[in-house]
Amino acid sequence: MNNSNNAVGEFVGTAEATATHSRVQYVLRLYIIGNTPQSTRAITNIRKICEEHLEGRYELEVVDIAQHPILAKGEQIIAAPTLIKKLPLPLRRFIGDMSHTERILVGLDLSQGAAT
Amino acid sequence: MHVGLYSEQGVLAENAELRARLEAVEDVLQAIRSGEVDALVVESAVGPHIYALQGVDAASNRFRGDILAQVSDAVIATDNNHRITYMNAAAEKQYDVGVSGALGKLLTTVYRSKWINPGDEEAATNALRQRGEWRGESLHVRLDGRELRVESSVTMLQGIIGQPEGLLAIIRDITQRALAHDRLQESEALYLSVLEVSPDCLKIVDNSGKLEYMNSSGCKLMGIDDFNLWRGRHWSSLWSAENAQTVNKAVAAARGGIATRFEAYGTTTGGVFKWWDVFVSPILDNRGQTLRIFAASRDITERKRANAQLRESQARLSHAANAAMLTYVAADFERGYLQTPENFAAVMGFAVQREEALEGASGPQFLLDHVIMNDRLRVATALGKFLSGSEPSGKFDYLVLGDDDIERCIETVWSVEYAFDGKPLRAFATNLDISERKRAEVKTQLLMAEVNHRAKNLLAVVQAVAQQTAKHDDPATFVERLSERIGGLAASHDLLVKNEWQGVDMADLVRSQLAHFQDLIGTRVQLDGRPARLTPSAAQGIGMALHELATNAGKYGALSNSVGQVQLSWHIVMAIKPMVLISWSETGGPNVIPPKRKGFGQMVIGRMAEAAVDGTAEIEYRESGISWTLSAPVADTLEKGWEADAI
Repeated sequence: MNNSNNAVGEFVGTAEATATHSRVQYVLRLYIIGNTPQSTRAITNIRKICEEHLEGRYELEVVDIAQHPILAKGEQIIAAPTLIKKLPLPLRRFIGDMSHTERILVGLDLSQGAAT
Repeated sequence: MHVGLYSEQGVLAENAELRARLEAVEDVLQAIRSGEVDALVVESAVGPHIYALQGVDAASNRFRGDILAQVSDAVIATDNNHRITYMNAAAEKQYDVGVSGALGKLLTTVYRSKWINPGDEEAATNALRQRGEWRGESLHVRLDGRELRVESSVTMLQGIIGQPEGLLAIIRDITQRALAHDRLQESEALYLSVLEVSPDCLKIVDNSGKLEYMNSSGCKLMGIDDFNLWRGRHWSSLWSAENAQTVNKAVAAARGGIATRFEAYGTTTGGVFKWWDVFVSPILDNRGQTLRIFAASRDITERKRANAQLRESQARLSHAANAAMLTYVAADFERGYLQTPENFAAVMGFAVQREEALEGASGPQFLLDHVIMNDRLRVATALGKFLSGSEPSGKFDYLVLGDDDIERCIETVWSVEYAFDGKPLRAFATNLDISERKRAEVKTQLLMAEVNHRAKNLLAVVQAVAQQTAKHDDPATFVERLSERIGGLAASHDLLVKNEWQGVDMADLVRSQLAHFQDLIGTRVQLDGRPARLTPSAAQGIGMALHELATNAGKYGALSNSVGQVQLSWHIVMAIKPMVLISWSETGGPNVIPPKRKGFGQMVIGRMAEAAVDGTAEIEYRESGISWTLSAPVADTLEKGWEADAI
């Protein structure tokens, strides 16, 4: 990152984190249900986030639980839409239409000052 | 619960997990409360169970999604930013992409649109903007580069208050259909172009005979400037009433699946008379039913005219061939037959029909049977060459004895036409009756021999006359007498030439030798005798004798005064053999004094005359006048065939 306004330690740490995170592959799974407005928004929002922040290093699997409920097995209770960050660990969940971009970015360790 | 069974670390970990789950559940509950969740999937003993939380709209949306998933056409929904929000299985298959990977991506990551016509994109945009929908054809280029021809129905998606939320497209792959359509169009264009390039008048009429199409050449031939004025009118209306019936019959036959052909005449719309060769055929569908009727009319006016001229020409040629006694034999080696014209039998003198004369296998033998024996082997050999085509050409002549017992000399000239591989195809032989020519040739040869003989003979006579005249006369008289005598010889010679050395009529000979006394013939010179043709030799000898007698009579005898008469007669008398008796008798002239010596004149009327006819000459010098009689056999004196007439 080329942010000279940040503290040196944070800058260094950020730089290291960036160097580390920029190589990390993200594996994401988005559970939706049919063609509902929330699901539709969730798809386009998370896709936009991925293209902007994870270009070339992410896998996004969209699972329609109406079509493939079995794929939700093992997840106990799954709300739709829900995004699960499978990798990198730790596993994290985001519920809703993914319109809270900042919150998602933070959750994905992609917020400004963390990693982009 | 037995605490002792768990380690402290294990308990801590379990607590942490439970806490995490609790947090997760709380997050879900929070999301449910804030309306961010549409459905829940809860694991149960019988499997996952879905709980819908968004009421009727969500359920109906899902239901609509289920339906769209089963549509066989590709269905893709996008938001206002052209990101894919829905894609059914058919779309996955059509564009060879996975729905999971495609959802949320820009539409251009699945395919690129190409427009068929320049204004299509603008028209589509306007239609969506104004009517909220667009339907049309375009091209979609897949990621692998494959180009699809598609028919799309695009509808604008609207929110609750009517705000635009994206587009829903139902896309049908019509590549194959379009390809087939293009091919069909190409094929139709090709057929039409084929029809257009034809110089004939080609038409397509419906089953009732109404015109649907006519090619450009046809319009031109028919004098039609605008076919649209004729489209839908009955084809037969282009024909005269007489031929319209023929056309209607052909249409009816084609309707029944039968092709017909006929020739008919008609007048174009421009009033030009034309003959047509018309072919009418049904255009059948797969089941053999007549869909349309195809009619091709070829303008054969020129051909008809040429045929008429050819027939006239052939008739003239036939007349000319008949007049020239010319006929022919045509051989076709491939079909194995001989052909002769109508005049063949007549020219050859066969009292049979031409088919019997030579056509067919027995023809050559029939001809050979009529060839005279001496020529038969030669003709058989030549015929063999002609009929086998072994020699490219040849010429031979032979005598044929006709059924009318007339011998004809036939000259045959033949030539053979060969194929590229050397096989004979056809042969043609002309047969010309050259009997007259042959007769003329024989006659000419005879004449030449006769002339040769006579010339030598004449020269000998002239020589003798000159010698004898010189003996008895002085030079001046010699010249005069020699000139007269040669003049006499020339007169006889002229007559022989005039008669082509075929003898001289006695009366003509007398008149030529008595030319100086022509005015006296019938008065003082009496002639008596029937027509008789003397041989050339007799004519020469008798001619000289008559010349001497006439000269003597004019100088010293009956014709030297004004009253004397000469009686000249010739007759045939029957003795042991028929004899010609020629008599010259003078009366009323000066008294005759017999000569003391025999001059050349006496030799001419004596020995020379006798030698010419193998006869006997008697001379009497009576006081009243000279009498000269020549008696000779008819056979040595007259031409053959004249004996009877002279008797």
